[in-house]
Amino acid sequence: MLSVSDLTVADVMTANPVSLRPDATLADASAALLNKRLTCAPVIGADDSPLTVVSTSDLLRAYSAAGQDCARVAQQGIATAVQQVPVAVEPTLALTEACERMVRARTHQLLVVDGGRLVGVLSTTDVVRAVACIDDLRKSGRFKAGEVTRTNDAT
Amino acid sequence: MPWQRTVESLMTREVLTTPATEPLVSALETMANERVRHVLVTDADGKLCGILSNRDVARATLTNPEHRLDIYGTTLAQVMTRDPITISAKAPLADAARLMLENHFNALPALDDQGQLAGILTSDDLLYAVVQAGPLRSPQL
Repeated sequence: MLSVSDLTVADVMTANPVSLRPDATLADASAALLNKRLTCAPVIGADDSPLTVVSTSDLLRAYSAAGQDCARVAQQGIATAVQQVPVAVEPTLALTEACERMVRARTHQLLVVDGGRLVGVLSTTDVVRAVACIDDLRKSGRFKAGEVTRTNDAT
Repeated sequence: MPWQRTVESLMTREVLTTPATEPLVSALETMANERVRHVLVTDADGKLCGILSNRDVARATLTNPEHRLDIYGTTLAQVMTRDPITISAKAPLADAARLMLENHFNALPALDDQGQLAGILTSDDLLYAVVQAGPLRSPQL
């Protein structure tokens, strides 16, 4: 009988995610998240190493604190807004262990890192998609591990 | 700046609701088809009794034996977050932002003066309002 326990992070993660560079402003980040319908995006260095994650909550916290001065704050670098310490996992990690880390850290997204480079992100939407997809495939008898379809839409 | 605007000026009024007795698959289909991250759940009287988010589904998968989640045999009532925190539709957006940030939510059901469900406000809505209100130098939305 198939279960989510059979899957690894690599099976369901979003590869090549939308990312930001460290010199991006809050305005850049706002536009990227809204345009792509994302709740957060990784910030990566020149060597694709993950540095941090900027989320909608980070931006709202900064804008909310700014009150009437949002326009000025929007031109600040994203480092001024980021609060969460990103949680990174390896692509070979079991999906259930990744979910546990996600719930424990109260985050919606994990960075997937291989050899120091960001290779993907795992979001709660990816997990939901996997749960739904597995059940359908199990009922149809068509499932093989690693065949879970991943779309690269917003999370 | 948008913080004095009311929740009702920004919220989505056409709210997607699903009865608590429905199977989980119904809500997952709604989430996928409508590209939303939250589904509001109603009781037999049509009143708001819960909210279902992606994280609820992830948590339910973890707590089920052997990490299996029967999305056809599990009802929303078994998985949803009960009695969600709500906000008045007349409240300022600043209050909504504070509630979301303090409680780590990305969506708030909004109620009218009679306590009836009037809409839903998401963190995306708030961010969009800020971007639209100010001369933020950024790529076009």
